[in-house]
Amino acid sequence: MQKKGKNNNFYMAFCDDRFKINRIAVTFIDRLEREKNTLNALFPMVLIRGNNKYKDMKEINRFLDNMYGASLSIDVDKKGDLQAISFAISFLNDRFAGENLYTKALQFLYDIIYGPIKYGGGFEEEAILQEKNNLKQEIESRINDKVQYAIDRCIEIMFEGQNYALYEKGNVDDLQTITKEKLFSQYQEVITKKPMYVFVYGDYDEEWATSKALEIFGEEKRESIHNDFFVNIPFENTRYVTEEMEVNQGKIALGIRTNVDVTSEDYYKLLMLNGILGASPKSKLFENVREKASLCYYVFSRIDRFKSVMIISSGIEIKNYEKALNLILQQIEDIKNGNIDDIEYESAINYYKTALMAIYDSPRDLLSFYLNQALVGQIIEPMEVFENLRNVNIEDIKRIANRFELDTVYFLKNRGVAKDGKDL
Amino acid sequence: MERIYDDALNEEIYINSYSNGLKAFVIKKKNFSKAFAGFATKYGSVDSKFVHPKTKEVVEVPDGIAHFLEHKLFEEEEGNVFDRFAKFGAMANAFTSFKETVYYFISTQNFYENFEILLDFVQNPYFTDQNVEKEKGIIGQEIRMYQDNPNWRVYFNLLNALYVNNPVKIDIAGTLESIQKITKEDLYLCYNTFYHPSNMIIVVCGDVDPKKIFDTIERMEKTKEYQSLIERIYPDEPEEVNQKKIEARLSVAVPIFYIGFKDNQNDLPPYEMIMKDIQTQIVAEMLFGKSTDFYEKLYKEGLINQNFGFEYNCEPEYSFFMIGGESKDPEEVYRRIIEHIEDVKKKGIDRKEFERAKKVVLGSHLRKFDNPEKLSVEFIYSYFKGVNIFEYVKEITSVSFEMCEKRFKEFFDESLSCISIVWPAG
Repeated sequence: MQKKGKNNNFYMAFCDDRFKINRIAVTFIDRLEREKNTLNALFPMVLIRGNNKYKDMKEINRFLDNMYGASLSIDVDKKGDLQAISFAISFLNDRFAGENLYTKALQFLYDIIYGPIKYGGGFEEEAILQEKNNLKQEIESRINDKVQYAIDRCIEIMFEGQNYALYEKGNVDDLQTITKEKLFSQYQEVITKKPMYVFVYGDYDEEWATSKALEIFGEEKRESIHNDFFVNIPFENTRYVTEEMEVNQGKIALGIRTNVDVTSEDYYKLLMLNGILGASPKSKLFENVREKASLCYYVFSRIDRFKSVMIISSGIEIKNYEKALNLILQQIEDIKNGNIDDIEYESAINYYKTALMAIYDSPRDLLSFYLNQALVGQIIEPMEVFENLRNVNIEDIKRIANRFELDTVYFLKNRGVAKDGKDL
Repeated sequence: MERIYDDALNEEIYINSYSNGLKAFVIKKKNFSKAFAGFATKYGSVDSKFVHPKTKEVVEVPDGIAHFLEHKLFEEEEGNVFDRFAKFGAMANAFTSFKETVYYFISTQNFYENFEILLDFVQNPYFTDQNVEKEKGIIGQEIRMYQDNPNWRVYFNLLNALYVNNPVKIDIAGTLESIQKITKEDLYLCYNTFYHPSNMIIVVCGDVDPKKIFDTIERMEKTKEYQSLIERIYPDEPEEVNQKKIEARLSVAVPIFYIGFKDNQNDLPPYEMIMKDIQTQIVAEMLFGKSTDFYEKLYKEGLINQNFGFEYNCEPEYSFFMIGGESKDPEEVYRRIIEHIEDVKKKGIDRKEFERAKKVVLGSHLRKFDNPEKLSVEFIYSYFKGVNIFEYVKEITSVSFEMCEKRFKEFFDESLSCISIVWPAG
């Protein structure tokens, strides 16, 4: 690994020759706030519509095609109270392309991001209009994936009024008020002033690869942004919310405040707890809710590291709501009482070992792993994470579980009589 | 043990055959930390009618049985096999598709211990009336989950519109009704028929020792006698599509659609099938790829968005091309696609576009080699079709403009197309 950069510019390169596809990812970090989250989701979509260097989408796509079907992707993500705006390109290893594609790919990514400024001009009115429409569709299409939708709703309810409740891709109402000027000025603000992370993976010399990236993207002075990892409102009572939609299967989502400082050693204890409760193949939730009670096909727990929150999610028969909820809560109680057997513990530790080692086999996963590490302010190797997990004992896990507070129980059920999503 | 090294791909593969008909493959991936091992049988959702290899009687079983069997094989007399995998740190799972069932694990440690568990549990079914009943609840929830999934719905509706009789149109998991009929006797019957080594392969991919793997298989193989080929019975399928349009309503924000083209040129020798597959992919890229005028125009008119895409499915029993995504006006997109095809038929396909399209198709095939899991699954799919995935890359470069021109003229026929739409509910 090769690291470089100052003034809140972060450059990291990871190189080896195992892959046929290389990757470059550039991420900007901004605060997640209502005034700008929609703008931040929109401007990348407008950027990949073209600029004066690559006149339109067709020219952009032609460039990619000629790089042997390279792919350009944009993404906006929520990292606690922060919004991550990413641009990535994946392209063929020089060995198979028979030419050097790295510098070309870097320059291309730079031109996509900085093109409108560098090649004189703002955004095209028509492109903004169309991408507003596309973003509107995308935001509205959240209901298509009911599993994720129920989780998102649970978080929105849990964090009502706070920035963390905001959807990373923005808000439909705010889209209407976006003007060309507002969008361009927010775009400029982000790409010139906000922290930038340039991470590359490829079959190159690491020193050379970082220097090249730095040469093109530079080290201009940027702000530093602080992230707040805690739920900062006092806990009162558990909220129970039921909503209705045209569905066949009920979706239950539980939002739990873990009260764990995820920048401390306790984070690893929480991770182990999560493995035992609902992440590993022999987790309590899988064994008891699915295998023994046959109540569901899927049930899992996950941790949002950036906000110390645990989410439990399952799809169940609507009439089994009470039964499933009680059984899920029973599993947490069991952990609070230290009721953890060897298989559960072993399964969790092994699960993490495999998952962490597997990160090394995917350039994409590796880059996103290190970005998350960098954002939490602790850059350690996947295998060091594993070493920390290995030191966790049952008493630790029990103690962590006893800090849990069940904040929100969300249930998505069918509207009126069960309908079968009838074919017309 | 046979070794093949592909210099152009920089990939190495070891092959071993056993006297009972089993074949095993090791795709060597130096310095990878994870390894994948898959035990696959050529048995999927389309195989519900067949001639019993011993009694020679025609058997017909309930829909969804291959998938049900997949779930049940994880069960053991003392609990389930996850206990054993968990001990050695593997992530084990399985999936059932139209034509194959694959049991696999991914591990980064204790590979050979995990491998033995895989070989052992796939060869040891344990079904009881009670554990079969219990599974109906879990699979019932799986079916319901997919019913709420608009992408799944629009896909199966398309297959229903394309095919009159071909069982590819039937949901892999079956229906809430059909799974109720499944008994442990049915499961044993299908297991004994399709889980014979002569109908199975083992694929391992990672930084592993091929000899040790092949020896382990030799030692652990239970079945010694050979079984004759299984005769599968597929109904006759008319050339034309079943219906031109199929619609449904679900909770979606924007209508979702797929347009399908039925390909009646099936049952080709393996090499011709590879060539047909590649040619179709190149032609599709030339017609509808992201850098075409066609794509740009529809995108700019707001008729399609970034989710627009296409794929070609090519099997000896059925082949179809599908293209779709999200649109406020799917019927207009359908009309434009047909119009575009007619237009190109008059003008002919563009020679300049050909080289570009070929590069894209080549790049997308090379990508598959970076992920041991995906690579192995692709390998299994193509092996059961009678072709080798390694051949694809070589053949892509050999495809000529004239071949694609011919393929274009033969395929993409309006009369063999149909549309499936999921509209927003309420």
